[in-house]
Amino acid sequence: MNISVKNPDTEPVEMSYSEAIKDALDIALKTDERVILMGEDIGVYGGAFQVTGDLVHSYGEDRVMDTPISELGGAGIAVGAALTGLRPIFEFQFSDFATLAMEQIVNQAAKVRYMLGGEVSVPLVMRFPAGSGTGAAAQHSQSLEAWLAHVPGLKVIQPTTPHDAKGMLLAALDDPDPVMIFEHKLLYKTKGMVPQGHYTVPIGKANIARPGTDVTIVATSIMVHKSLAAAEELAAAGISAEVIDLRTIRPIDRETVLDSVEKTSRLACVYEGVKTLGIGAEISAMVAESHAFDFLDAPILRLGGSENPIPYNPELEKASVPQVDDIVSNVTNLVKGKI
Amino acid sequence: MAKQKMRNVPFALKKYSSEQLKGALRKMYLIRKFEEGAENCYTRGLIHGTMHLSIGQETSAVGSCMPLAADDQITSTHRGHGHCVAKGAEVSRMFAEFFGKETGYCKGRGGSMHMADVEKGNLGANGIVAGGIPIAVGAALSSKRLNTGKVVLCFFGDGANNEGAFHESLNMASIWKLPVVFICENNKYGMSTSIERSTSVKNISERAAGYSMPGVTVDGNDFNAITEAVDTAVEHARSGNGPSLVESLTYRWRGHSKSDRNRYRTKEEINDWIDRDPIIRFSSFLVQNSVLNDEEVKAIEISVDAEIEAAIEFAKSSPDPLLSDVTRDVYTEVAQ
Amino acid sequence: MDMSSGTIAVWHKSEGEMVNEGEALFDIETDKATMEVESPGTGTLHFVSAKEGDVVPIGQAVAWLFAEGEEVAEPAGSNGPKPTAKEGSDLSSVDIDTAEAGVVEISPATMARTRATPLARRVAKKLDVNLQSVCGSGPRGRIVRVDVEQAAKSGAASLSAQTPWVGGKTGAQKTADELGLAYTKVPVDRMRSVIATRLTESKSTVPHFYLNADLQIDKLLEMRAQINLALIDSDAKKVSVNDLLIKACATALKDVPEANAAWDGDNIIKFDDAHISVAVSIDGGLVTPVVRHAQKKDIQTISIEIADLAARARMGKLASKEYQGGSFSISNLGMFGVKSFSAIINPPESMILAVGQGIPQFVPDDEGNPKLATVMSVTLSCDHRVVDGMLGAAWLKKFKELIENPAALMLN
Repeated sequence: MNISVKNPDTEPVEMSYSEAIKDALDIALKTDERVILMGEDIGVYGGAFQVTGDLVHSYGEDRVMDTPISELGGAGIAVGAALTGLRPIFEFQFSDFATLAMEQIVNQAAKVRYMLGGEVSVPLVMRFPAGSGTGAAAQHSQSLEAWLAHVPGLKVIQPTTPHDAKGMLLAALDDPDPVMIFEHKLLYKTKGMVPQGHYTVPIGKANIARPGTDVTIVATSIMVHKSLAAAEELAAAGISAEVIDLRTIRPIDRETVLDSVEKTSRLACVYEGVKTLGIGAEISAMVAESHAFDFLDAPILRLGGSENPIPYNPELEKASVPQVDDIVSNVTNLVKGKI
Repeated sequence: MAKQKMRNVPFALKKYSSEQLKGALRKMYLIRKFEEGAENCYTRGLIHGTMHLSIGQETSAVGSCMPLAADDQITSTHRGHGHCVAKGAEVSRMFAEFFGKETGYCKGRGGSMHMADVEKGNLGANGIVAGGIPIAVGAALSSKRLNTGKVVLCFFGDGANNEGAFHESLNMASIWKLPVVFICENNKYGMSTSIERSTSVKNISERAAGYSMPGVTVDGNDFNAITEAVDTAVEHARSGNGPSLVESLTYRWRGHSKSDRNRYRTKEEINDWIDRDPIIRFSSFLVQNSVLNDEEVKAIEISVDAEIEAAIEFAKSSPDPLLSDVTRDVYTEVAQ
Repeated sequence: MDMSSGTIAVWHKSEGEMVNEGEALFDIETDKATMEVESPGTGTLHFVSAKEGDVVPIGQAVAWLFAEGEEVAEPAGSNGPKPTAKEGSDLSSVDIDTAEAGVVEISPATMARTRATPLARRVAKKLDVNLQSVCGSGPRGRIVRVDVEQAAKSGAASLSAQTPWVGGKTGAQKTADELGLAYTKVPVDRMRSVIATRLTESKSTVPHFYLNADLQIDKLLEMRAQINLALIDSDAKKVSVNDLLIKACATALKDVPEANAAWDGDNIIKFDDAHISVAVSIDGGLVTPVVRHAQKKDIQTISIEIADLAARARMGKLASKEYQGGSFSISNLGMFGVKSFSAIINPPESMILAVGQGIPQFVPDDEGNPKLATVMSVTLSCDHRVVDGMLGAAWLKKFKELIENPAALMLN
C-alpha cells in the first residue's frame, strides 16, 4: 500500500467512503486557503450524496459555494479560478451532468496548458458521483469515465475504498493538472479503515487487491468489490485469481498489469462502463501489444456494461452490468480453456 | 496641454497623458500592421491554418485595455490578435507563434486562436466561442478570494452572447459580484449571421438588465467613448460592485476567416466602414488636439513597419519545435 | 517458380540513359531460367544499385526511373526493413523489444495450421516440442501450455530444425498456371502436414539401411485358419495375418532387445517392452496406433486391441498417447498387391518392417525339387545410429524363424 502518512502515530479510524471524502475536503479547506468547493447544493443541503455535509458551517459560503444549476459555466469558472491561483474542487451532482460541461473540461481544462506551450497549469479537481444500482435510470446512472480518460491532459481516477478515496483526493489536490474523480454512488456508504490526518495515495498506481496465480482480473470502481467476491468463490473451486484494483484509469499503471499477466497468463477486465470501446478495450489492447503477449495462454476477456442505457427496472438494471455470478462463470470458463 | 475645461474635454485627454495617447496610437498601428503582415504571410503560404483578422477593430481593443493596470487580466477570442497587442504583447513572439516556432508565445503549440501572454495578464485567446467567458469569471473569482485587486476584462463577440456559457457566466458573476468586465465587441456578424437574425434584443447591452448589472452600448471605433465606458466598468468592478456589460460597436473589414467569401454583406457596407477608418479617426483626433503632429504620426507608422518587418524575420529564423517534443507539456512535470 | 532472390544477368540500359516503356531494361536469372525485365515506364535511369552478377532479394529496388522534368534526387527508404518508431515518439507505445531466444521458429505452413497460444509456443520452444505433434485441448484444437507440457512428458517428437524447407512451395501450382493445366487445389490439412514434416525429417536425418527377406508363410496361414476355426462358434473377432505378424515382431524384439530402441542424441533409449506402432490407413492419410507391451499379450488380445485402435483411428478418436511412444513399426501393404517395399522409419523408433503380399512361388524343397509355397517379402528399414547390420539381421532372422515356425507364437 503506497501511501505517505504525515501523522504516522494516529490510529486509523473506521469511516464510510463519503466520510473519508469529507475528511479530505476538510483537511484541504483547513490547510490551504486556495481551496474552494463549488457545486450544486453542497452548502447547507450538504450535497446530493451528503458528502460535503456541514462543511459550509465551518468554512462559510465563500469557500463552500453553492452554484446555480450551471454546469458549463460553473466548470468554466473552476477552470479560470484554477488558472489564476485558486484550487477549486468542483462537484457534479451526477456524473451524467458532465456532458453539459464537456466544453470546459475537454476543450479548456485538458488543453490550456498544452495550447499555451506549458506556460500555465490547471490544478483543477472535479468529482463525479457515478454508476448504476440506485434505480435512477438512464440519465443518472452512467459510467462515463472512459470518455474523459480518452483525453490527454486530464487525469482520471476511480478510488474504490474509503482509504483510497481520501488519499487520492488529497493527492489530486497536490497535482498541478486537472484530476477527474469518479466515485461510484454505491460505494458512498461502504466502510473501511482510514488514517487520520493528511496522507496521499499516489495517482497512477494500481493496487493488487488480492494476489493470485491462475488469472489476472483487472477491475475498476465497484467492480473491484465484485471481483473480490468472485475471487472468493473461484478460490473455493480451486482457481486462484489475482484482482487488480486499477484505481487510476488515466494514466493506467501498465507495469502492474503487465507483470501480473505475465505471471498468470490470463486476463479478464471487469468494468461497469459500456463494454464496447471502454476501459477494458484499452487494457486488452495494451496487454496484447506488449511483451506480456508472449505469456498469454488464453484470449483476453472483457466483462462490461451491456449495450443499452441503464434501465429503471431493478432486475434489468442489474442485468446491464457485470455481477459476481457473471465474473465467476466467465472467469471459470476462461481458466478452464473453454473460451 | 491644459485640461482646465473639464466638462468639455474629451475623456481620453482628461484621463491619459500625451505619452499614453501616443502609445495608444502606436498600438493601433501595431495591430493594423500586424494583421496586414500576417495576412501577407498567409497569402504567401508561410502560415499554416487560417486566421481571424481584426482589421478595423483596433480602437475597440486598445481603448478597452487602456484603463487596465499591468496585472489586470484579459481573456480573448479567436479574433484576438488585437487584444493581445493591446495588452502589451511583442509582435515578434506573436509572429513566431503564427509560424509555429518554439519561440512563439505558445511554443508553436497554440497558433492564432490560442495566443496568450500570461506574464502580461493575457490568459489566452479561445477557439471556442464563449469558451473564455466562464474562465474570465473564474479569474475574477480568484481575484476576489485571494484579494489581489485584479480586474478581468472578458472579450467576446456578438455571436458569443447567444451561447449558454454567456448566460451562466454573467449570472454567476452577478450573484457573486465578481470583478469582471464583459466586453462584447459587436461587429454585426457572427461569422455570416447578422446580429438582427441571431439575437432577440436590439442592443446586446440590454441583456445586462437580465443579470442585474450595468450595461452600455458605445461606438467602439470612438476611442473616447470606448475607453470611458470601460474605465467606468473597471472602477465599478475594482471597488467591489461587481460586473458590467459593455457593448462595443465596431466592424471587421476582412471576412470571418480566410475562407470567407463575404457573401452575407455588401461591398458597399464594407467600404463604408473602411472609409471611416478608426485609426485615422483617432490620429486625426490626436493631431487636432495637438497631442502630436502629422509627421509624428508618419514616424510612428514607419517605426511600426520596421518593427513588424523585424518581427517577421525573427519568426522566420526561429527554430521549429522538435518532433520528439510532441507530447511535452500535456501534463506538468513534477519534481520528484 | 518460387523466387526469393534473383541474379542480375545483364543490364541493357545504363546510368543516365533514356528508356521507353516496354523496352528491355535488364535480364534476371533465377534457378530455372533467365528472364527479360521490361521497363515499366518512360524516363531516365538513375541510381542503378545492382551490378551484373549481383544477387538481389525480391522487393529491393535495383534502379530508379525519373520522368522528364522530375528532379533527380536519391529516393529514401527503398530497401530494407521499415524504420522503427522515431526516438522518443509517443505515437504508439508498442514495445519494440529485440527478439530474444524464446522466439519460436515455425514455418508459415505450420503457423497457419496450428492454433497455439503465445505461451504454448514459447514453452514448446523451450521444451523442444514440435507443436505439430501436440494435441490441443482448447477450442478449435487450440494448444495451450499444459498440452505442450504433457506432450513433452510423453516424449513427443522434438523440433530438430534440420529441415527449414518443410512446408515450402515447390512451384507446382505456378507452373500449372503458366502452362494452363487444369487442377484442383487441396489445402494441406493438419494430418498431411504432420506426415509431411515427420517423414521428411525422418528420411533426411535418419541414416536408413534396408534388409530384405523372403518368408514362406504357409504354416502361418495354416495356423491362422486353425485359430479362426476354434473361434468360429464364438462372437470373437477373427485373427488376421497381421495380428500374427505383430506378435512375431514383438517376440523377436524380446529375443533381440538391443533392436528395441530409439535414438535420443546423447543416449539410446532401450525400451523394456515392445510397443508396436501399426500403420493404419485412414481417410486422407495414415496414423500409427501403438499396441503396448505386445510381447506380453497373446494373439487374441493383440487382435482385439488393434481392431479397436484401427477403428477409432478411422474415426479420428485416438488420444495422443495412443499413437505416440512406439518402439517399432510395422506397415503392411500386402493386401494392395504390393510385392515388396521399403518403409520410412517412424522417428524416434529405429526400425520399421514393410510387409508385402504373400505370392505363390516355386521354391526348392529339401531334395532340390520345386514345390509351390506362399512367399511373403519383407523389408526391414533400420536406423544405423542404433541398429547395425548384424543387429538388424539378427532380428530379421529371428522374425523369419517365428513366422516359418509359428507355433512359438502361441507361447508367451
